[in-house]
Amino acid sequence: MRSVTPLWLAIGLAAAAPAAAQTFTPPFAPPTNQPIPSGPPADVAFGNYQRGYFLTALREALKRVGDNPKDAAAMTLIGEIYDDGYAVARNEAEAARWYRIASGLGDREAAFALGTLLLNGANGVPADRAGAKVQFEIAAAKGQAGALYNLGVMALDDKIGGIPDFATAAANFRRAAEAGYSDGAYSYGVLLREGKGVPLDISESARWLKRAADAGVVAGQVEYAIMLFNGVGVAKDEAGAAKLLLRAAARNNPIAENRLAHLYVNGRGVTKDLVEAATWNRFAKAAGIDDPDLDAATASLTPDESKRVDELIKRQTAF
Amino acid sequence: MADAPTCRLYLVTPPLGLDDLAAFAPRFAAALAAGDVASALVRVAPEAQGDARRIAERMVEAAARCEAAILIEGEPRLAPRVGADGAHVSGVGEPLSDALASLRPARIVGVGALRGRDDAMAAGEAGADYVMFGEPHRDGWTPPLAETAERVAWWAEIFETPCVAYAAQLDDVAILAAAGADFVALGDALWSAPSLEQAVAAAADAAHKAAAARAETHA
Repeated sequence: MRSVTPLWLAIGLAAAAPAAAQTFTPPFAPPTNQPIPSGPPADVAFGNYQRGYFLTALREALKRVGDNPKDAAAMTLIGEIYDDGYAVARNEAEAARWYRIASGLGDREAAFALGTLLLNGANGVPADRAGAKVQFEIAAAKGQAGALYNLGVMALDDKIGGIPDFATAAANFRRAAEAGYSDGAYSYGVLLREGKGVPLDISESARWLKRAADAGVVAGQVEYAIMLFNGVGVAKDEAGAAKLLLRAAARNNPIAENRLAHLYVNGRGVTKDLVEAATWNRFAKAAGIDDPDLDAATASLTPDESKRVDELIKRQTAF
Repeated sequence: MADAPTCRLYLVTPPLGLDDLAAFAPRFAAALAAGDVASALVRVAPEAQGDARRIAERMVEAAARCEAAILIEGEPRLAPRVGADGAHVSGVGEPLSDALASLRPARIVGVGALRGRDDAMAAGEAGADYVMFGEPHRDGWTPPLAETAERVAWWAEIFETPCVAYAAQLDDVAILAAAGADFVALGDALWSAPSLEQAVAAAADAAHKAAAARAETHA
């Protein structure tokens, strides 16, 4: 068997996204499906909502608002119930109405939820990007992590003179990351690595990308794995890199699948195994990554080995 | 839980009702005392959920003289109230995040009923204390041994978070320990054994030996 060592492996794993920060456009935060109670603890309405008794929750929340017209947490809950439509017909306009009142009373979850509705628009809620930003700013001022993250994404999207506002993006991603928001940790890590909006700091970048990787951000797992493999910003650890690539590959990340196949061909960080290499090359190829070096390295499997490739693919897709 | 390359037992009770306690509590205590048992999961029958607290209390009491960590299935809020060491939840997402928020770091939160690799990884990444593979599904179907062993081996390679492998047969214990399980769970296979004490002792021994052999080849 001819040993294939592609150039990028000889000099280290190629970065997953070389010009990441130039084209770096992370997606917005998903809306929270769970309101976070900012009202009294052990709240009956919220408890019912959590247990899935949405109608009871709605009744209790309406009662709370009846007793106290300034109960912002209860209003946010009512908004959520109209927003998710589990108990009552989904009514985003009604949700937005309740969110708006609660946001006005200072409820950060309501402000985030309203911002999310306004960002994309919904039935009876016209999209209003500027309005969304105002709401995210209200929520962010109170440390709402999703809102901080979204403000970071907006700063990258809303280019001034064609240039993203990297400094604002970095500041917001950092605060989101510090509030435990793992997508924020990933985005801040990428900006640190590129030195965009924040002084380039490769070891600080590695630290935040590790946090994102540990929390399950797949892009973070791939990029941190590559830094680990190359020993960039962090002590070199090929086996640790392989473990992270295995996780990202199990989540169908094509770059991870491709890099992992190379590690198996060359026995770097893992025991050399052409069956595994062929398996991951097949997955990567199915996702559109053609790699003639890998094809060549795995071209002469025995019929038995080919059968094991099929078995591995089946297992991987079965669970 | 365990850092050293060993494998210990994790007992799983049948789903219990109040009426089962008089007969089962002494058997539970005997099984815990019969060998090296790390942990035990107390399950409450669906129709006995209203008695969950009394059932859990009684089982914690039965285990009082043993070192084993006692976990309650579902019910993360019940665990601290009855003096249990933690809870075992089904599935990731809200059940897990609720349990983590209410029990950690003082108590253990484990996860089972994982539908796929993504679920399992999400559980590990969320900070669960262990993941369980191979336990019977709600309809009674139990995954084949080879599948469970494969999942365990996959997990052991990429996560530090311990994994519990459910053994449908006493003979499966050694195979699952050799695959890299940190704990092997025994349910029906144990409770239906002719001698509870002998079964626990033999399973604990098989788990230790297989884990030690694995540690040598993985060194």
